[in-house]
Amino acid sequence: MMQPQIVHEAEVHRQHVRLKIPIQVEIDGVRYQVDDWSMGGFGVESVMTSRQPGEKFSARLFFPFEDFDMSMRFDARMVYADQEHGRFGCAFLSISHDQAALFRYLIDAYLSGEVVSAGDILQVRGRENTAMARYQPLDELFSPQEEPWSSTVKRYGVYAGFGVAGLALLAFVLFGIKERYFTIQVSNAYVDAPVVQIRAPIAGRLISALQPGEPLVVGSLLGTIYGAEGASVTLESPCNCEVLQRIGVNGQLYQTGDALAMLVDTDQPLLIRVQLPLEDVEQLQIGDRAEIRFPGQSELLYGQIERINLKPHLDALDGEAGDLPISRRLAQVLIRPDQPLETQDYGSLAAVRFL
Amino acid sequence: MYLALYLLALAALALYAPDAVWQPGTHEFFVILGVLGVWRYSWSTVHFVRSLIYRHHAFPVLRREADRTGEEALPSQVYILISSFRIRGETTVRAYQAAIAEAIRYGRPVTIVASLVELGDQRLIKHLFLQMAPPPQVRLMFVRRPAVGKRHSMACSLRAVSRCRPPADAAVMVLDGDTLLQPGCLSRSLPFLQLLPEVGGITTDEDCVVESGPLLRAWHRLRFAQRHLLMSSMALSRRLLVLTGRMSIFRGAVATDPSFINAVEADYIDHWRLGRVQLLTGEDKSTWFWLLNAGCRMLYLPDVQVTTIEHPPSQWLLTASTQLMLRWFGNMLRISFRAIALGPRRVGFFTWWCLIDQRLSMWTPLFGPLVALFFAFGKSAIFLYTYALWVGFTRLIQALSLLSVRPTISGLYPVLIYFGQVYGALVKTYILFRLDRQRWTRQNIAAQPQLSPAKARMRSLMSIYLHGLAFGVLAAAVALATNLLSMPRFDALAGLF
Repeated sequence: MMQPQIVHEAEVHRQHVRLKIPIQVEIDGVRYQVDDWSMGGFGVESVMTSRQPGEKFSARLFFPFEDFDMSMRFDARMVYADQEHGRFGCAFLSISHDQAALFRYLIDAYLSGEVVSAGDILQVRGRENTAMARYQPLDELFSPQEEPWSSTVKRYGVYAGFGVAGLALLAFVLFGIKERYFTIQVSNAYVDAPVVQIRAPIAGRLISALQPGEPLVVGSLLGTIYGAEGASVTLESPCNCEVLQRIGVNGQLYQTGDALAMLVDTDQPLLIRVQLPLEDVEQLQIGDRAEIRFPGQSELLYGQIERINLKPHLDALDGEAGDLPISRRLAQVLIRPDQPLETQDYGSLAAVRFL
Repeated sequence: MYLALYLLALAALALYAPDAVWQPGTHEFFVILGVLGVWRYSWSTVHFVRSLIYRHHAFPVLRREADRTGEEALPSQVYILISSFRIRGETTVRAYQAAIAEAIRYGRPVTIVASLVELGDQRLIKHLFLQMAPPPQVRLMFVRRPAVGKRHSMACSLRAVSRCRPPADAAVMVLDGDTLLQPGCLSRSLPFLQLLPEVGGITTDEDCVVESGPLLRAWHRLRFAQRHLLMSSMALSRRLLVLTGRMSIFRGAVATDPSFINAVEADYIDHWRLGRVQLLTGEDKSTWFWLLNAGCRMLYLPDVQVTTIEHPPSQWLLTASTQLMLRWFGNMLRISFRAIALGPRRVGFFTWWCLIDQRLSMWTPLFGPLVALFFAFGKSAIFLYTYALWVGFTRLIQALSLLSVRPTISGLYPVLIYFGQVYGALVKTYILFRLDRQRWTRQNIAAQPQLSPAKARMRSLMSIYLHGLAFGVLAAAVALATNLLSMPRFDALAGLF
């Protein structure tokens, strides 16, 4: 037999209400026009006296098609008989699986207003088309399942890990913000100390007594200047010092006032001098800690603010004359390192970060 | 015209750029972006080159072989599964007309399986079928089911095909109800199933008709052009990143395999935090994973094209793209975990790395805007100008590269490429932490986990927290790279005490 071209496969069925479909039912040899019917039973606008409500009997349904009729045997029970209005109703009993499938198919086909051909009927009878509609793997797969305790522990462990990570990130960001926006950092600080400059008291030839690296005490001989006409002046150290810079060259002639040497007072510690605008200085106070870093050195030094000078000599600022506008004049902050600096560090640039 | 406008705007931006844009201070900015750019753009170049090799060298060889085999290689029975639900009537008519016409043209037994919900659709399609009066070898099978989602619909249809006991060489084409088969699609696609026995699934190029404004039209067409390029590149390894639900072809034995049908109907992931998540959408990812897991190869046909009729869920680009991206990217992220877990040996190294790259590339597009913003905040707003120039130039190059796959490009493409990258990354990262949220846009079907209100709230808060944490780590990394924040020094911390 040739297959039909249009097939209804695996329909999913809805609950059908009573249907007004022109089928007929034969009971006890008499055919009645069925007024309405459903999967549960049928109703007829007619009077039947041969059966009483509650009585069971066999009957036959007739489905009229374009070129043929189809009939189906079934058992039924009379549910009611309304003699006054000329109507009775019967319920289907024990409809077989195939009959149910056929019923459903016919209902849908009738509802759609389509002409149902014989091929369609045969096709739907020939298969188990309700099996897949009942297949519900989802319930089994997605029903709530009890979680093993090890998984619960593991999950909460991961939660804890993420919690720690969140705190770490928060700390990192807060620290970064504090560093960038609430921490005073300067990179133009330098090592400063009381410096004594030795100058030529008279014009003449210098005979130096300075030895490299030799510590000086008050009165130590620095050298002698031999002037014209046999005059000479002895140069003595005014402090307990170290030679920072030896400017005068032995045997050379110098004029009065020429710089001959620079000495650093070793009785005073070397300090870090920082110049800051007033708005920054207002956030600082004596005793605040600071981190000191020298370029090229990985090791950090720490110190604390020893002095804040809000009245610097105007002519000492940035080596310029005191003609800077007030807005550009800087306060001086002096930091004493926890560990004393070497004399040779004098003048070194440093970066300072106030903690 | 849009392209001319774009070029003019970019030229004006460059010519009238402030001097500061070209100052040495911006070099640092370009170095940071450049490092990332070298990685991302070289990866794009790899795909571009592979795509050219596939389309101009590898595939033409296959095509010649397929043409040589002729009708002998065509399957004796073809099933065309079409799923329709709440698709406009005129679209349904066009899709079925195209399918029936192609079935008639094919000249061999074809069964069109119409997977429907609405009775009206059934009537319409039946009327259309009778009107077109196809020859007897073309059959129409209706599968009606409740509106519970495409997965159920597809599974019912595949079971209906299975009950027909298809012959060994049968092919099953899965179509969406808004996809138009182009003439010759079947005869040009199906021979490859016999020619390449290791291939389990095939998909083709797509283009679209968009019933919306020029922006959404350009966005959809751009996505299809990008897809064409990427698919061609992937196909060189004979494994793809998806077998698109709009149109894919499976070997009959594959499509009727019970485990395949079960994967379509009831796929799920077990997530460490969300528990078992039933996959509502993304049946094409499930079928793709099934093939990948089974060791099947996949084929992309660059010279066969189907046309889809797009009805964006909104007329606004942002709304429409958000809804669509949430679905697409959610599907991708839900399944790719499992695919990565298969390992490079099973999946093939290139495909496996592409899956890894999908994970990474959802974060990298956010790096550039953050760098620009942080530089602007920390140094000068001029960096935003510099960044705009950088984006304008690089996206223009990316858009021009699409001329290798499409005859023309729109001037909106560079802007939309950037939008797709950055906004797409935001959507991807959003959905990454909310894998249990799924929704079919047209059907308005959503997956709702069965949780008590307290648990649901807790889960939602945890999603927000993890999302925030991940984004915070990214932002902190960018802040470090741009010196907006400095790495805390433990010795500095120690100095405090």
